[in-house]
Amino acid sequence: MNNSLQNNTKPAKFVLETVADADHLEKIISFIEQSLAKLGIQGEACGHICVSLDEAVTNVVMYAYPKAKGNIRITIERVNDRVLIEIIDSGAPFNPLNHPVPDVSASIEKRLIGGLGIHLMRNMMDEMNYRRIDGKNCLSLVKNIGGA
Amino acid sequence: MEENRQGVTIVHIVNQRLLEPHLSDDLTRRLCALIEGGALCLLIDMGAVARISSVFFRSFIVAGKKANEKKVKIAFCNLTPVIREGFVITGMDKLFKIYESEGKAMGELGE
Repeated sequence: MNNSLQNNTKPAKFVLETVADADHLEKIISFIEQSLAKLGIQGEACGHICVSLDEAVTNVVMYAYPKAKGNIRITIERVNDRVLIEIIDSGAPFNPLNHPVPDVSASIEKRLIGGLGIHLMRNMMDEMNYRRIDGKNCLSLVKNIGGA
Repeated sequence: MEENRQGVTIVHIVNQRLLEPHLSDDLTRRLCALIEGGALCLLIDMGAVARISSVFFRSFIVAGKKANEKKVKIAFCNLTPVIREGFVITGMDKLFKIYESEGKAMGELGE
Protein backbone atom coordinates (compact mmCIF):
# COMPACT_ATOMS: atom_id res chain seq x y z
CA MET A 1 0.00 0.00 0.00
CA ASN A 2 1.12 3.57 -0.74
CA ASN A 3 2.44 5.16 2.45
CA SER A 4 0.92 8.52 1.60
CA LEU A 5 -2.48 6.82 1.62
CA GLN A 6 -1.81 5.17 4.94
CA ASN A 7 -0.92 8.54 6.36
CA ASN A 8 -4.07 10.10 4.89
CA THR A 9 -2.15 13.00 3.43
CA LYS A 10 -2.58 12.87 -0.35
CA PRO A 11 -5.75 12.24 -2.28
CA ALA A 12 -5.47 9.84 -5.20
CA LYS A 13 -7.80 9.62 -8.15
CA PHE A 14 -8.32 7.23 -11.05
CA VAL A 15 -10.48 7.94 -14.10
CA LEU A 16 -11.72 5.71 -16.92
CA GLU A 17 -13.84 6.77 -19.87
CA THR A 18 -14.90 4.06 -22.28
CA VAL A 19 -17.79 2.71 -24.33
CA ALA A 20 -20.68 1.57 -22.16
CA ASP A 21 -21.47 -1.83 -23.60
CA ALA A 22 -21.09 -5.47 -22.65
CA ASP A 23 -17.91 -5.80 -24.72
CA HIS A 24 -16.18 -3.28 -22.45
CA LEU A 25 -17.38 -4.70 -19.12
CA GLU A 26 -14.15 -6.65 -18.59
CA LYS A 27 -12.09 -3.48 -19.06
CA ILE A 28 -14.35 -1.57 -16.64
CA ILE A 29 -14.22 -4.32 -14.02
CA SER A 30 -10.42 -4.49 -14.23
CA PHE A 31 -10.24 -0.71 -13.83
CA ILE A 32 -12.42 -0.85 -10.71
CA GLU A 33 -10.43 -3.69 -9.14
CA GLN A 34 -7.04 -2.15 -9.91
CA SER A 35 -8.07 1.32 -8.74
CA LEU A 36 -9.38 0.04 -5.40
CA ALA A 37 -6.22 -2.03 -4.91
CA LYS A 38 -3.99 0.97 -5.66
CA LEU A 39 -6.03 3.08 -3.23
CA GLY A 40 -5.50 0.47 -0.53
CA ILE A 41 -9.19 -0.40 -0.18
CA GLN A 42 -9.63 -3.90 1.18
CA GLY A 43 -12.02 -6.23 2.93
CA GLU A 44 -15.69 -5.48 3.47
CA ALA A 45 -15.47 -1.89 2.18
CA CYS A 46 -13.91 -3.13 -1.05
CA GLY A 47 -16.70 -5.73 -1.41
CA HIS A 48 -19.40 -3.11 -0.86
CA ILE A 49 -17.87 -0.71 -3.37
CA CYS A 50 -17.44 -3.46 -5.98
CA VAL A 51 -21.06 -4.57 -5.61
CA SER A 52 -22.33 -1.00 -5.86
CA LEU A 53 -20.16 -0.15 -8.85
CA ASP A 54 -21.13 -3.39 -10.59
CA GLU A 55 -24.77 -2.39 -10.19
CA ALA A 56 -24.28 1.18 -11.35
CA VAL A 57 -22.18 0.15 -14.36
CA THR A 58 -24.59 -2.63 -15.32
CA ASN A 59 -27.48 -0.14 -15.26
CA VAL A 60 -25.65 2.17 -17.65
CA VAL A 61 -24.62 -0.69 -19.94
CA MET A 62 -28.14 -2.13 -20.05
CA TYR A 63 -30.34 0.96 -20.15
CA ALA A 64 -28.53 4.24 -20.83
CA TYR A 65 -28.10 3.86 -24.58
CA PRO A 66 -30.92 1.80 -26.06
CA LYS A 67 -30.43 3.05 -29.64
CA ALA A 68 -26.77 4.00 -30.08
CA LYS A 69 -23.43 3.50 -28.39
CA GLY A 70 -22.33 5.96 -25.76
CA ASN A 71 -19.67 6.42 -23.13
CA ILE A 72 -19.38 5.93 -19.40
CA ARG A 73 -16.92 7.86 -17.27
CA ILE A 74 -15.94 6.49 -13.88
CA THR A 75 -13.92 8.37 -11.30
CA ILE A 76 -12.67 6.67 -8.14
CA GLU A 77 -10.96 8.85 -5.58
CA ARG A 78 -9.78 8.35 -2.03
CA VAL A 79 -9.71 11.36 0.26
CA ASN A 80 -8.55 10.37 3.71
CA ASP A 81 -11.06 7.79 4.96
CA ARG A 82 -13.62 8.35 2.23
CA VAL A 83 -13.89 6.80 -1.21
CA LEU A 84 -15.65 9.13 -3.64
CA ILE A 85 -17.03 7.63 -6.83
CA GLU A 86 -18.66 9.36 -9.77
CA ILE A 87 -20.34 7.63 -12.70
CA ILE A 88 -21.33 9.82 -15.64
CA ASP A 89 -23.15 8.91 -18.85
CA SER A 90 -24.90 10.88 -21.57
CA GLY A 91 -27.75 8.43 -21.92
CA ALA A 92 -31.45 8.54 -21.14
CA PRO A 93 -32.23 10.42 -17.92
CA PHE A 94 -32.34 8.00 -15.01
CA ASN A 95 -32.45 9.01 -11.38
CA PRO A 96 -31.97 5.87 -9.28
CA LEU A 97 -33.02 7.80 -6.16
CA ASN A 98 -36.56 7.99 -7.59
CA HIS A 99 -36.71 4.21 -7.87
CA PRO A 100 -39.17 2.72 -5.37
CA VAL A 101 -37.76 0.60 -2.57
CA PRO A 102 -38.59 -3.04 -3.37
CA ASP A 103 -40.57 -5.13 -0.92
CA VAL A 104 -37.83 -7.56 0.07
CA SER A 105 -40.15 -9.35 2.49
CA ALA A 106 -42.61 -10.39 -0.24
CA SER A 107 -43.15 -14.11 -0.83
CA ILE A 108 -41.80 -15.74 -3.98
CA GLU A 109 -45.28 -15.59 -5.57
CA LYS A 110 -45.51 -11.83 -5.01
CA ARG A 111 -41.89 -10.95 -5.56
CA LEU A 112 -41.34 -8.32 -8.26
CA ILE A 113 -38.35 -8.81 -10.49
CA GLY A 114 -36.06 -5.81 -10.53
CA GLY A 115 -35.01 -2.87 -8.39
CA LEU A 116 -32.68 -4.94 -6.23
CA GLY A 117 -29.48 -3.42 -7.56
CA ILE A 118 -30.38 0.10 -6.45
CA HIS A 119 -31.51 -1.32 -3.12
CA LEU A 120 -28.09 -2.96 -2.72
CA MET A 121 -26.30 0.31 -3.54
CA ARG A 122 -28.39 2.23 -1.02
CA ASN A 123 -27.53 -0.29 1.67
CA MET A 124 -23.84 -0.80 0.90
CA MET A 125 -22.78 2.81 0.31
CA ASP A 126 -22.90 5.64 2.85
CA GLU A 127 -24.05 8.34 0.45
CA MET A 128 -25.73 8.28 -2.96
CA ASN A 129 -26.56 11.40 -4.95
CA TYR A 130 -27.83 12.06 -8.46
CA ARG A 131 -27.77 15.13 -10.68
CA ARG A 132 -28.71 15.65 -14.31
CA ILE A 133 -26.22 18.17 -15.68
CA ASP A 134 -25.85 19.27 -19.31
CA GLY A 135 -27.70 16.22 -20.61
CA LYS A 136 -25.67 13.82 -18.48
CA ASN A 137 -26.55 11.48 -15.63
CA CYS A 138 -24.12 12.07 -12.75
CA LEU A 139 -24.29 9.51 -9.98
CA SER A 140 -22.10 10.08 -6.93
CA LEU A 141 -21.39 7.39 -4.35
CA VAL A 142 -19.45 7.72 -1.11
CA LYS A 143 -18.07 5.00 1.13
CA ASN A 144 -16.61 5.77 4.53
CA ILE A 145 -13.85 3.27 5.03
CA GLY A 146 -12.60 3.98 8.51
CA GLY A 147 -9.27 2.26 8.83
CA ALA A 148 -9.52 0.08 5.68
CA MET B 1 -22.05 -28.00 -14.78
CA GLU B 2 -24.58 -30.24 -13.06
CA GLU B 3 -24.48 -33.49 -11.17
CA ASN B 4 -27.19 -35.57 -9.56
CA ARG B 5 -26.57 -37.02 -6.13
CA GLN B 6 -28.96 -38.45 -3.57
CA GLY B 7 -31.96 -36.93 -5.31
CA VAL B 8 -30.39 -33.48 -5.48
CA THR B 9 -29.35 -31.74 -8.70
CA ILE B 10 -26.23 -29.78 -7.84
CA VAL B 11 -25.61 -26.84 -10.17
CA HIS B 12 -21.99 -25.71 -9.99
CA ILE B 13 -21.67 -22.15 -11.22
CA VAL B 14 -18.20 -22.01 -12.70
CA ASN B 15 -18.02 -18.30 -13.58
CA GLN B 16 -15.96 -16.21 -11.19
CA ARG B 17 -17.94 -13.13 -12.13
CA LEU B 18 -21.67 -13.14 -12.75
CA LEU B 19 -21.98 -9.65 -14.18
CA GLU B 20 -22.73 -9.84 -17.88
CA PRO B 21 -26.47 -9.42 -18.49
CA HIS B 22 -26.67 -11.99 -21.32
CA LEU B 23 -25.30 -14.68 -18.99
CA SER B 24 -28.25 -14.15 -16.65
CA ASP B 25 -30.66 -15.11 -19.43
CA ASP B 26 -28.63 -18.29 -20.01
CA LEU B 27 -28.75 -19.09 -16.28
CA THR B 28 -32.50 -18.47 -16.09
CA ARG B 29 -33.08 -20.83 -19.04
CA ARG B 30 -30.78 -23.46 -17.55
CA LEU B 31 -32.44 -23.44 -14.12
CA CYS B 32 -35.96 -23.42 -15.57
CA ALA B 33 -35.05 -26.31 -17.90
CA LEU B 34 -33.89 -28.36 -14.92
CA ILE B 35 -37.13 -27.64 -13.06
CA GLU B 36 -39.23 -28.48 -16.14
CA GLY B 37 -37.08 -31.56 -16.68
CA GLY B 38 -38.17 -33.14 -13.42
CA ALA B 39 -35.54 -32.10 -10.87
CA LEU B 40 -36.93 -32.28 -7.35
CA CYS B 41 -34.30 -30.22 -5.59
CA LEU B 42 -31.70 -27.81 -6.99
CA LEU B 43 -28.62 -26.95 -4.97
CA ILE B 44 -26.80 -24.01 -6.53
CA ASP B 45 -23.11 -24.08 -5.61
CA MET B 46 -21.75 -20.53 -5.69
CA GLY B 47 -18.28 -21.47 -4.48
CA ALA B 48 -16.52 -20.20 -7.61
CA VAL B 49 -18.41 -16.89 -7.75
CA ALA B 50 -16.58 -13.87 -6.40
CA ARG B 51 -18.83 -11.16 -7.82
CA ILE B 52 -22.47 -11.12 -8.85
CA SER B 53 -24.80 -8.46 -10.20
CA SER B 54 -28.42 -8.27 -9.09
CA VAL B 55 -29.36 -9.08 -12.70
CA PHE B 56 -28.63 -12.66 -11.66
CA PHE B 57 -30.89 -12.34 -8.61
CA ARG B 58 -33.66 -11.94 -11.19
CA SER B 59 -32.66 -15.31 -12.65
CA PHE B 60 -32.98 -16.90 -9.22
CA ILE B 61 -36.35 -15.24 -8.55
CA VAL B 62 -37.74 -16.30 -11.94
CA ALA B 63 -36.51 -19.86 -11.33
CA GLY B 64 -37.86 -19.67 -7.77
CA LYS B 65 -41.33 -18.77 -9.04
CA LYS B 66 -41.28 -21.74 -11.43
CA ALA B 67 -39.90 -24.02 -8.73
CA ASN B 68 -42.67 -22.92 -6.38
CA GLU B 69 -45.30 -23.87 -8.97
CA LYS B 70 -43.71 -27.27 -9.49
CA LYS B 71 -43.00 -27.87 -5.76
CA VAL B 72 -39.26 -28.00 -6.45
CA LYS B 73 -36.80 -26.86 -3.77
CA ILE B 74 -33.99 -24.43 -4.57
CA ALA B 75 -31.11 -23.88 -2.16
CA PHE B 76 -27.68 -22.26 -2.30
CA CYS B 77 -24.30 -23.09 -0.81
CA ASN B 78 -20.76 -21.69 -0.57
CA LEU B 79 -21.60 -17.98 -0.79
CA THR B 80 -18.84 -15.47 -0.09
CA PRO B 81 -19.55 -13.12 2.84
CA VAL B 82 -20.36 -10.16 0.59
CA ILE B 83 -22.64 -12.20 -1.67
CA ARG B 84 -24.38 -13.61 1.39
CA GLU B 85 -24.83 -10.06 2.67
CA GLY B 86 -26.36 -9.17 -0.70
CA PHE B 87 -28.79 -12.08 -0.31
CA VAL B 88 -29.78 -10.79 3.14
CA ILE B 89 -30.21 -7.16 2.03
CA THR B 90 -32.43 -8.19 -0.88
CA GLY B 91 -34.42 -10.74 1.12
CA MET B 92 -33.21 -13.59 -1.07
CA ASP B 93 -32.31 -15.45 2.12
CA LYS B 94 -36.03 -15.54 2.97
CA LEU B 95 -36.88 -17.06 -0.40
CA PHE B 96 -34.14 -19.68 -0.54
CA LYS B 97 -32.30 -21.75 2.03
CA ILE B 98 -28.59 -20.95 2.21
CA TYR B 99 -26.03 -23.49 3.41
CA GLU B 100 -22.50 -22.83 4.47
CA SER B 101 -21.15 -25.76 2.46
CA GLU B 102 -22.21 -28.40 -0.01
CA GLY B 103 -21.69 -31.05 2.67
CA LYS B 104 -24.08 -29.36 5.09
CA ALA B 105 -26.62 -28.87 2.31
CA MET B 106 -26.46 -32.51 1.25
CA GLY B 107 -26.81 -33.57 4.88
CA GLU B 108 -30.24 -31.93 4.96
CA LEU B 109 -31.40 -32.16 1.36
CA GLY B 110 -29.99 -35.53 0.24
CA GLU B 111 -32.07 -38.69 0.38
